[in-house]
Amino acid sequence: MERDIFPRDQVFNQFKDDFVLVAQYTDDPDDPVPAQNLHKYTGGGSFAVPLYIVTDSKGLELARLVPPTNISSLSGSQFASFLQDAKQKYAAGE
Amino acid sequence: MRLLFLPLAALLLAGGMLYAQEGLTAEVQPLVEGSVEPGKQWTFKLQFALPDGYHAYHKDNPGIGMAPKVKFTQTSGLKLASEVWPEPTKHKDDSGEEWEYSGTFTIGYIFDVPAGASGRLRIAGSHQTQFCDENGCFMSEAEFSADIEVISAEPVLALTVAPIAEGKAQAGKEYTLKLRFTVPAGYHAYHRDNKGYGVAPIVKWTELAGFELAREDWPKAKDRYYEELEATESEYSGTFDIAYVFKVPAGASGTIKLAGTHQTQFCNDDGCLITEGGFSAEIAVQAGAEGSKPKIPTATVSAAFHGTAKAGGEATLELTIELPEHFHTYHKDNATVKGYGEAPKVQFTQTSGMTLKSESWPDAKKVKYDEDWYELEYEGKLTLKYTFEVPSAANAKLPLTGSYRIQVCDDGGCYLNDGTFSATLEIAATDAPQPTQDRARKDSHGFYLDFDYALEQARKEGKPLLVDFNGENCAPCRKMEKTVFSLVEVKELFTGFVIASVQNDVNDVRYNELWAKYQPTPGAPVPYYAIMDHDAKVVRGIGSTLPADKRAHEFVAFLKGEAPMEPAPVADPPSKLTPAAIGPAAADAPGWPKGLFGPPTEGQAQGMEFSAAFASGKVKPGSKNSVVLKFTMKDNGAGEIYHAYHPGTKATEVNIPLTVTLKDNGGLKPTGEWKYPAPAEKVDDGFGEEWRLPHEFTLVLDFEVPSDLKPGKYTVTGHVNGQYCDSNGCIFFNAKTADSPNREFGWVAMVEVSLDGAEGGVTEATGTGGGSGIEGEVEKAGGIWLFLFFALLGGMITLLTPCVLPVLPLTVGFFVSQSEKGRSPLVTAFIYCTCIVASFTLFGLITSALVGATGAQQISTNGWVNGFLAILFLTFALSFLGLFELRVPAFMTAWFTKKQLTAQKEGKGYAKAFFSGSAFALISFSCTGPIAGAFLAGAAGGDFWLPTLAMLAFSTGMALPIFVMGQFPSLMKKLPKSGGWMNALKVVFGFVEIGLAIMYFSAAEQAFASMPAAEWVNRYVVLAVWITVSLASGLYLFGFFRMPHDHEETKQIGVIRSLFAVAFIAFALYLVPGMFGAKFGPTLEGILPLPPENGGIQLSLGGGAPRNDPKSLPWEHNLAKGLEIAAKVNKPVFVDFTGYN
Repeated sequence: MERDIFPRDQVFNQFKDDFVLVAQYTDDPDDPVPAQNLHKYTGGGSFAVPLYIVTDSKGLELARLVPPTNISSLSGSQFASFLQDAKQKYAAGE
Repeated sequence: MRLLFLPLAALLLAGGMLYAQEGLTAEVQPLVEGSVEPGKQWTFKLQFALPDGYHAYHKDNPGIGMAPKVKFTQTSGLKLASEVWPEPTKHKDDSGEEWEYSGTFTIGYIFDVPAGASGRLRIAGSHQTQFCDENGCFMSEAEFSADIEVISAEPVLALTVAPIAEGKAQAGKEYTLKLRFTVPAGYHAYHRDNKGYGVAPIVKWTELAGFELAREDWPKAKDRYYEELEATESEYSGTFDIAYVFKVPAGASGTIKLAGTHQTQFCNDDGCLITEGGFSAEIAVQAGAEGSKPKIPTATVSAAFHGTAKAGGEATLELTIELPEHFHTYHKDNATVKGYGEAPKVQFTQTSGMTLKSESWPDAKKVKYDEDWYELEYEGKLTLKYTFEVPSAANAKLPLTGSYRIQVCDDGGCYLNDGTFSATLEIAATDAPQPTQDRARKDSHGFYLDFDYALEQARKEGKPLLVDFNGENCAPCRKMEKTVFSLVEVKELFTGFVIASVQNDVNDVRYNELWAKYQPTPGAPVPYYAIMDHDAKVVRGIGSTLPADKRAHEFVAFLKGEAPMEPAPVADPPSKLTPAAIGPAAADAPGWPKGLFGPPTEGQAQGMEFSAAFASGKVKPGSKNSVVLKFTMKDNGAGEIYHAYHPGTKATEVNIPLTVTLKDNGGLKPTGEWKYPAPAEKVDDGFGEEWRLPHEFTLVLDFEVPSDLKPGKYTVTGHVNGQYCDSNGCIFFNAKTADSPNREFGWVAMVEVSLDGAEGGVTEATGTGGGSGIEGEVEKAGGIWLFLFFALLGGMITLLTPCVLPVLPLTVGFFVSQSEKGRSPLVTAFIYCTCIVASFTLFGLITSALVGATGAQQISTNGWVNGFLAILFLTFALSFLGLFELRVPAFMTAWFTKKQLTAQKEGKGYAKAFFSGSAFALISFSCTGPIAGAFLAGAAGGDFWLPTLAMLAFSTGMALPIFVMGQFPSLMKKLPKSGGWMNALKVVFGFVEIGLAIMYFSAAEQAFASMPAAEWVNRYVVLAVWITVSLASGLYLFGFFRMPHDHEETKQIGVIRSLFAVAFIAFALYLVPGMFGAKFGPTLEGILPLPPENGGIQLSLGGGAPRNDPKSLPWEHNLAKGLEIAAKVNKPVFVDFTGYN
């Protein structure tokens, strides 16, 4: 995912310009906080990573992308439009 | 570049001038030609002769070279009007383009000669001519002069010849055409039979159109004797007519053209002049009275505008002329090649305000008749195109008429065809698109989208109307189209109908109205197909009642009218449903307080039920509570339970997930999103993967009850959107279409807030039933049974390994001996086998416990686990290949053996069975362990219970044959004989385990390095190892090499063995393209590591483009900090929940 989708211009540029980026390694054995955060956003249960969530500055969720089972079927443009939509929701909430 | 050359050119010029002294000159000579007449123009020519290899330049030379400069110093009153320079040779090279002359060339200077000019005049001037070769330029300067004589004007003498056509020619009779010669005063022409020197006029007929010259009558001439010539001349003076008598052909009719040329000498006493000229006459021919059908070859002419035109635009009239066979007509430029033939003449008599802009003639054939005589001829069919400007105020139709005259000729003669033509130009409406076009629009199946238009068409074509009521978001409709409509038989039947498509789920007033009117029952599902008569009454209809595979048959019968059909609705149901019509629930439920469906209709009641309630009916202020929507999917009446879609369903045009909206939060604060249970199953039917919700499930939304909320009752309401489906179709419901109240699913939940209420009632979404019933890690839901089957198979194969097979007879013998002692072999074998199963299952259970539910995620991401597995598999592999033998520690087997012996001593046969069963499991470990381990490792990545289940399946696979053989010892004989092949099996397993080991090594590296893909033991290394071991297995099975424990030579290769060998080698070859970047199917890709970041040995030579590195971006690892930054910079936060995997 990181390797196939994130470097695409349409995604990378949005990351660079329009978002504050947070990486949460939920399987970090030394830091339980990311896993707790995941739990907070998914309401517990089992949830596979990667999971992408866009929030406003208060942490309220604006959009979420659960990649399909076959991750490689997710295209860069799909991901880019997910970011686009999230931005619009953020702008609408302002 | 050009600028650079300028100074260089100047230098060359200067140099050239110096060279000019050496004698190279351009000679300039005036040429005096033609007569200089007062009041006219006369051209003075200067001839330039350049030395060989040199060139001069044109006056408009774009290059550097300078053109000759000519200055007239004396012109004697003549005025220079213009200059005529011959065409230069254009010479282009890197430094630019030069327009050059070489050799001899002539420049014309056109002078206006004043009216009063007379006598001898002098023209003089000077020239300065630059001429150059590759090396340099010279300059010649010289003066020139010429004397000219002005000749005074004399009256132009000309003899005229005019044909006089009188009366009509009669077909089959004679006709006389007279040519009138008018000789200038003082001159005379000569008689045909002149005996003197004078030459009579020479007349040649070029066009006779079948007329035959019979004779010619010359008038009498005056004889005059010239003494000095001693001759008598027969002279004409003034005007005289020569009569030419023609024989008119019998079949002639219409208008005939006769034409010819003359060359006439006329003289006075001083000398003679000759006039040349042409003449032509048109003669009307009356058809012969004999009734013999006149055979005038006639061209067929038709005119038409092509397509429509816009007002203010252009329109092209195509005039098509079809010439009679063997006849030709002529191009309009025929005269330019000195042809005689006349081109068709077209005149427009009415153009309705259109103005002719241009005309285009097709190319004609150039036919040579003589030296210097060509004709441009058309044969067969030709189309002349006339382009008109259409007035901007043009109306719908513009008539155009015109007439033509076409000369058609063959070798025998020419005929004139006269006629008229007319055409009408249709003007397209410029505003709004043509409504007729728009109404006739069709969808991709050729179904009309405009119902009313289709009905009109049906009436017009006299065919019944077939209406396809479908939905834009309807998978079964698409399936019908795909599977049934595409059948040849159906397609043929379709031709007997006019077909309209009406969609019930698009926002189209007309469609809604139609569906409301024609749906067989309120809330009926689509697809629904109805055949209607010309009054739009349903003759018969068919809904979706059969599974898709029986559909085609049913649908064909429906189209043919051969099967009993659902009756058409008796009366039109009301188009707008009143509350009374909606149902009792709605009537007594404003706002649906019962928390049930808003208005339950028949269709909905069929599909599912749901209710809404708070998890805790009574809570304290400041507590948390959840709204729980409980859904129960119902039976479709044919044993199939409807399903709804999870939001994880890949949104496609046909799959609409079940979603819930919150309309009114009633003062409570919703937190988070709606929680869904895991889907019960994932089905891909070609329309995208469907995640089906369980048969019973709850959707949950958590609320906070504000602490300042006054005690009392609060209601929360919302809507449910989506569709529920069975294998025939889907019923779509959507709260958003306000004009379809019968499809609105609303929910209401009420909670009492009271100080003595519960602390909270937050709950989670649940689901049961449907699909395979596997919860949690649903991804493997489909594959889990396959996996367990393989585990079972694996267990059976293990029996064939050299550690097990040889001891089987002993085991079975044990059962037999026990039965001889009166113990039931059934019980003995059961205990024995249960022990085997229990041992392995225990091992699986331990693994399950160790790995755990959350650990299942980690096992594949943890470097230590992967590393351990890698080493384990490598150890197993080496053992299998024969490097050493793995054994369970001796004390363990010893203990069991001791117990076994004790039990035997004490005569406890069943106890012995227990201990020997356990011992068997342990002793056979050296062979079973590695195989069981592989299944265990594969299972560990999945569900909590999967390792246990895998071991259960594996050991059952092992124990079952033993149990069966215990009951029927004679089956032992059917077992394959021990032999070298057992070791071969081990070796092959060893190779396979090497492949597994390398895979785990790769995963370990990836986990340790926290990278998306391993760099060292990368995809290509794994592939390389796989290819090698697969090839090695194949070659080994074919007997190409031996391994340590192979005792006997492989003399013959068994059939089964060779098949396996082929399979291994084929698999190796199949993997080869992967080394060069090829991707495999999802199964293989799921196991193989991703390609390394830097491409590894992948052939990506061209990929030099700089890559965006997401790692270079400022990734914050603390969410709280990220939110702080976001607040500062006013940007949303992108959270990537990821893992080191």
